Amino acid sequence: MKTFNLQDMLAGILLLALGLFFAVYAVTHYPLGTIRNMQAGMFPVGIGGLLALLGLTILVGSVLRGAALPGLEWRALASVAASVAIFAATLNVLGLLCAVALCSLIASLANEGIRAKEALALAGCLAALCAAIFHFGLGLQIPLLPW
Amino acid sequence: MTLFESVVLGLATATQPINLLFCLIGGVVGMLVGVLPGIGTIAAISMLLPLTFYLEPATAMIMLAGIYYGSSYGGSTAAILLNIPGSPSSAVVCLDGYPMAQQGRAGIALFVSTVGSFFGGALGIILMMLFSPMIVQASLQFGAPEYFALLMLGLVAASSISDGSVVKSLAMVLLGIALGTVGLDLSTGTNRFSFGILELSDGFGLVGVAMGLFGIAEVISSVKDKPEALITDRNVTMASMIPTRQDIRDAAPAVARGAGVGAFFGMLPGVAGSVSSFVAYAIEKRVSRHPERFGHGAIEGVASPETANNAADQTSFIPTLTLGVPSGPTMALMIGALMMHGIAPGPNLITKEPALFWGLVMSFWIGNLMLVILNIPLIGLWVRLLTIPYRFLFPAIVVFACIGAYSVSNSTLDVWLMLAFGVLGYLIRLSEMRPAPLLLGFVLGPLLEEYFRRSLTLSRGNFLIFFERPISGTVMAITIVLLCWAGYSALRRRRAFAK
Repeated sequence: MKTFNLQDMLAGILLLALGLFFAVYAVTHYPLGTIRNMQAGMFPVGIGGLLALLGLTILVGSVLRGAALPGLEWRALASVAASVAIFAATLNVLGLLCAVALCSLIASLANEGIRAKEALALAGCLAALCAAIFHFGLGLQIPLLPW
Repeated sequence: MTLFESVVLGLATATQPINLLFCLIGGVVGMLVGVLPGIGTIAAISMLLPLTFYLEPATAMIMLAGIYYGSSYGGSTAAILLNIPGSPSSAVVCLDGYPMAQQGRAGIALFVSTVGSFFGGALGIILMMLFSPMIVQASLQFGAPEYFALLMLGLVAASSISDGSVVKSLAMVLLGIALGTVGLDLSTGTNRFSFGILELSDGFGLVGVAMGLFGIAEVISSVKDKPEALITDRNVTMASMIPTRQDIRDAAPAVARGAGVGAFFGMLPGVAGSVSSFVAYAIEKRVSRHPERFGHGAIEGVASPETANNAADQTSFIPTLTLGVPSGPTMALMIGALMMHGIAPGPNLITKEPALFWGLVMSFWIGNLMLVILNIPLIGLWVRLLTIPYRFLFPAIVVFACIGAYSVSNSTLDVWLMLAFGVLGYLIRLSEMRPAPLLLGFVLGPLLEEYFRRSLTLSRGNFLIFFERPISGTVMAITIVLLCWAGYSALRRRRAFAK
């Protein structure tokens, strides 16, 4: 029975897509020039093309080997990604202290072992620590509080 | 300048109080990063890169270099005491270091690894001092085709040596190069792939890319499987560290061999740090009269790899600083740091910025010395730190990464970019690929394109120029041989696997 190698498939699809994107976008938007006098588009087209080719190779090869995809860790991915996004979104709106605290809280969700009190305490400590190191210590130009 | 004059200049630079201070800071941070699993040197260096903007280039490099070789000192501590490799190059030290700790010989293992590390570092620095001017002299004959060939060798070597699928690593390099084309193309003035976002004209920021790929992605992957660590020996006293005469007799030749192996492998472009320690361990096992001792607490199994990886750390600076060809992703980051400070890496570096180069070299001596002296007293601190469960550490890593990304240009766009690269990095890990070649390709891509273009303009469109010129022809030949060898061994592995 032929089983698909999911990791290779993922790799192949990812690479093929990105390679095609670079190559096609470059061809349609930038002048290629000649080999003697390369313009902006030539290199991305070449690299993108090679990349797509490799992606295709891996994709085809993935049909031959069988392996299970390691579990996609949704919780970790979602919490860490969300925490970074929250930080980026709230930094200028709510200030450093809140952004750090929120970021830490949401990131803590990634691990099931953490308890609410610990997460809150950690968030508070980190906020204070960051204020001390970055705002007072290094003079980083980020407002601490919303006002 | 004679060697003596260079040394004096270097010492004058390295002993300036601010450079001493940042050498110390870098070394200690490096040790910390080496001890703690879940945060690597690339993530740490990229996190501290923005801070170096306020510093002189020499000071910045001294600190970043300190992080790099400091982590080798720290990684062994976690490996020996906890069987957890804090950094990849310390993984092999677990094999014999941890059994030694279980036998109550943790102190001796730590002592031997510290002293060996220093000897390895010393050899590496001496080689650096001797060879760098020579290499620079030889490179005067290098033109665009030669540099292109060297960079190709570095990128191909990075993909083919070390574990993992060669095809996937090559693809990572290509992806990195492609990502590097984003932004303003200096030769033609075209703004590539920036989709109208003004900030992207400079391309993706190195800090955001590195921190996303290595910091955020690492955290996402490792949140789940961090076991609660159990320390074997909480009471590592100073007295327990003194080795017996037999220990010294066993360890000394291992240190010598390890230093040689490390110094050699460190210089090769594209070879990652862990390769030297693995090879050193393998060699020790081969030459030993009692190979069955390995895996059960053989002191050579600790001494040699530790010496090797520190020697490799130092010699990996040689191609990076003399030719501008990085020997690994961390060195690529160093090159990136230099470029951010407005210094072009390459053979001109030594002649144009002698104070920077020799100051850096001399700081290696000072840094290694500082770390040797500090390593032993700080062990207690590291042990205590390692008892902190990972669930408290990783939010801190995420927060510091966010702040670090923001501080590059006070822009939240960099944080969003870091997020994007973090997700990409996680997908990369999920599909069994490695992000390190991507970083290499990303940093070197623009240079590669530049040299490629120039070579072809020089040869009026003739691709053979890379093979007709003797030096570049040789390098390209080596690259092709390496590719074929990698392809061949990959095919063999696939066939064996299929059976």
